[in-house]
Amino acid sequence: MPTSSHEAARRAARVAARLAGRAELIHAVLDAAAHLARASLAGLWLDDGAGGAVSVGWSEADCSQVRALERAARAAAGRQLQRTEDGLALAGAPLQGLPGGLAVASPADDGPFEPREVALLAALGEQAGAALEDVGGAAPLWTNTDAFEAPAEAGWPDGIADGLLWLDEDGRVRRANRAALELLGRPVDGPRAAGQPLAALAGELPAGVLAALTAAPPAAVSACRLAVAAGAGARPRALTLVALPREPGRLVLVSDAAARSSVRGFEALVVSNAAHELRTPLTAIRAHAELIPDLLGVGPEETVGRFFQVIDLESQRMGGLLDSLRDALRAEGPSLVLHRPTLPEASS
Amino acid sequence: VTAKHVLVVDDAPSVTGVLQFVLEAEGYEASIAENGLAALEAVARRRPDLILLDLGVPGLDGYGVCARLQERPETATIPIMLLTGTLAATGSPRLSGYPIKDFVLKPFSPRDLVERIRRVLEAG
Repeated sequence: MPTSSHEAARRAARVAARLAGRAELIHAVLDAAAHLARASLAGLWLDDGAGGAVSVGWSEADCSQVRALERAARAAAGRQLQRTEDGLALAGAPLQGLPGGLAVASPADDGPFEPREVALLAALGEQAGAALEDVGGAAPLWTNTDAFEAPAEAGWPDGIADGLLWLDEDGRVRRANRAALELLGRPVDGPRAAGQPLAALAGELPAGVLAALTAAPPAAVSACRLAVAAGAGARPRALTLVALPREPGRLVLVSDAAARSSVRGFEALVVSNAAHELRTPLTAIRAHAELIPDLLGVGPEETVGRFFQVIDLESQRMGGLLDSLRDALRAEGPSLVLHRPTLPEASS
Repeated sequence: VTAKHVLVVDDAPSVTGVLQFVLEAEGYEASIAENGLAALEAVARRRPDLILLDLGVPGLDGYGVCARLQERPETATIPIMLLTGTLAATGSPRLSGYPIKDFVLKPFSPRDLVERIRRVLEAG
């Protein structure tokens, strides 16, 4: 008989499958969260409304950090969050309209997140929640651009290590933070960059980048890389271009591709979590099964019966976990991989 | 002879139950903590001869437990055997400097585990 935990796992699997269809969106949300808040990792937790949950971690961090992030995202479901845990500084924000939360983390040694970083995360949580709510259609990632229309001095994030550019529909800079310009090899002030074409900041743009910048209608999310001349060599930069449906132009997130940690896909995370979750019942089954022969005929019958019962329950639990994994993999096609669309890598 | 005391730290009752059973059957005294903070409280109440610690316990995880034990001289030298689901943990720099005596990969054989516990306690 299925247990409540089995049902919760099945519900979570269904939500996971549904979200898999929004893979690019989830990637963009987490990528943007990590960029906006100088985070080393970002995560999202979404309740399915009936006790099940889906969480997505985004990092090279070990399991304990991902779990801390998941707890933070969960705790942030109904409110903003700012705390430290297990050597991590955590910040979280609710998802608007959804029973879920978005959280970011960085080493606690770096200090707590600044209020403006938390405010930016909250804005992202609102936008992401509104976008994720419409998982059945072609929802835009950004449902409003309020966060990017604030005056520069009121919150345009100059204090973070990754770059943010807001380009108009002609590819000209409307706003840029300092990190974006430095990463593009043009350490000038943001106001001086305004109105300049991206090409003037980044040098001759590869065809792939130009195509992504000028695509009409803009893709919801696209990603590309370009090499920026710096010193003796060219340094790779990763660009993530995000459409702004209610505004002309695009938001561009710029990061140091060499330094930035690689992304763990959703599929890898699902498999990793499944392996972790399966080890506990497997351990219990193996241990009890190994001891039963020693007890048969000599040990208390009650103990032997209890051992068989544990094996039975744990095997059911394993079956439930495997069913959930199978459901998730079947429901949305052959793979749960979070696909990150890429354009051909090119050098300037 | 006083029985050696083993503190088992794991959040899965089906695992801690069988470990307690097999340890007591082998003449050890076993106690259980289901999370990291409970483990620290148990250690404060009574210093165990060995801690069998699952790295992935909820709340304060195994890494955190190791770190907190190091903060006090009376707990810093308690031998620890780690239960882990992945070999990657064995090389983690986050565990360097702690008295980790052995790593046990899940799923494990209880007989093998008891033998390894016996060796650690005899060596200590």
